[in-house]
Amino acid sequence: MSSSVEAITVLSSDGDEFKITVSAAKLSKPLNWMLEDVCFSDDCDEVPTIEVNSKTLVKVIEYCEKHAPRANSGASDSDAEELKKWDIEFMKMDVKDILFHILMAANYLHMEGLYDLACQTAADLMKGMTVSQIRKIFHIKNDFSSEEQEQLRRQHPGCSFD
Amino acid sequence: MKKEMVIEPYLPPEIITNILKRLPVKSLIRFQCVCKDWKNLFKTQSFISEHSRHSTYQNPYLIFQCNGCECNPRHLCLMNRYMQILEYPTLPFTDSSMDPCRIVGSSNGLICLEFMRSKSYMLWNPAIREAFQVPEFKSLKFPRFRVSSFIGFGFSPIVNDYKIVKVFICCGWRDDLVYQVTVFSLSTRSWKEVKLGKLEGIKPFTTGYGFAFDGVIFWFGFAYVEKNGICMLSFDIATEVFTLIPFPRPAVLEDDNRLTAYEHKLAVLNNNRIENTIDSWVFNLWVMEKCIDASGERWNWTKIYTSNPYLYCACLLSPPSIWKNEIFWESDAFRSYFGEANVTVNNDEEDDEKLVLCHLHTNEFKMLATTEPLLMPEVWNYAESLVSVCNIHIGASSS
Repeated sequence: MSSSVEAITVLSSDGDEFKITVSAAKLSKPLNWMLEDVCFSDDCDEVPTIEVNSKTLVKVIEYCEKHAPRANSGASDSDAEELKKWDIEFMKMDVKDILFHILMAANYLHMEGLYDLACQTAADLMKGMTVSQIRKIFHIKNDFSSEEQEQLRRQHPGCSFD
Repeated sequence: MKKEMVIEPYLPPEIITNILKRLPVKSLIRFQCVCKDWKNLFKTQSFISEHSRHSTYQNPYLIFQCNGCECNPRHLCLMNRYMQILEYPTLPFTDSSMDPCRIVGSSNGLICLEFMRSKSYMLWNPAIREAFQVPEFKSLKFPRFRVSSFIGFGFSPIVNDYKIVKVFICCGWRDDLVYQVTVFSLSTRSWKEVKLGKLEGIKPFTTGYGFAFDGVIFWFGFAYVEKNGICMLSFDIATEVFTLIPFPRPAVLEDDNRLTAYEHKLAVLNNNRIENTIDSWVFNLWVMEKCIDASGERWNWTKIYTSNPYLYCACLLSPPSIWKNEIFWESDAFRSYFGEANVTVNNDEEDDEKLVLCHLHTNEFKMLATTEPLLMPEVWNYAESLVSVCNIHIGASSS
């Protein structure tokens, strides 16, 4: 790879092209391997595909670009504080529409920071949900018999199946 | 960009587990009704361990025991990481419920209680409302001049077990000596006798509760050995072996020392009030780290913090504790010493009890008012856990 390359082009699973800076791509192990393996110079035609849809990839790249300077150089306490606030704003998104896709992408791209952040966001959102809402977003069927439900309810008076 | 309907993804089980381990126990109890897979998952050893680990680092609580409340020695307060005093879990109701009790220790989600009159013990998980009455040890020796005992409670991730260790001391020919050591293991639910080892022939002279850290229980300012002077004593929960650890500096017995943990290291809060004037009182924080070299195992002690909180707070009542990055006390009479720029007060009602926190990085003092009377509380670090002690289930009546 030529050292003059500052950004690489990747394809999303829906076939859209995205640019990501080399320093931001380093936040992901698989992207980093791609940097080492694939020729990204101008005379190379090959554009690697990332199995993440466009809508999600936009967010993932946004996260990488924001976090790259700190990951590469280390940062002061005030920077870390600012970044935390940015993370909170960044994570204000719909669970089904995008958060779960971010989770899958962060897991697939081995991005520990984003994965932790997305898991924590999902957990915080779940705290306020009812059991039936949880079943809906995770596509889970209630497989308890009515006797089993009754027994659980007796054991844990706070339990609700609704 | 193409406009496509986003298909809702089915998250793989490992991602779901990673999300669920971050939920508070209260939510998990609710969500066991989601499906059988989840209910079973919450009972697996690996999930319980992962959940505990996460809760210890991400969601530290403080538990107070209000020893001053004679009328209700079972009254406990719980404070969350946003410094809100949340719940007042009631101690399990048992036959010995009229017997006053104290907390021996809090380790990995379980609290060990000692009932003062009956000298019996209980292991309690307040988050899932379960308690286990520890049976009596049948083969206790009763020497002619039995004087005292000391005790510790802790968890070892190596053997994945909780243990209570109790050391009995009798009056010897010249000195008080250790004559019996018994260990209770939660996994076997039974007591057994273990070897005295390094305790053979030494003279212990305190009766405090041990501090459990990283699979080892420590007692402070403890065993007197001719060569070493004042030592610390440790008990490895996994191997059940005692070790003597030399104290970092010429020990001053008048000092008020307390074991704690700071940034995942064992630490000692040393409250030096030897001088007569308040200006010269100092508060030190030492951290200790074990290192192994050619000469064997050694402990390195580093003093990382010194301050004089008495310049801000005239009266610090409770024994201090470390919580996150702050030293924590209770105080009731700091008003006259105010006026310093870096003191903040959250509530200025003068009759309220006050909690004092000193940030170890910024040296900033914070006062926090509480409406509940705490009165000389003992403070313990606590983290929620799903660990079952499975014997007495405390019903809804106690909520």
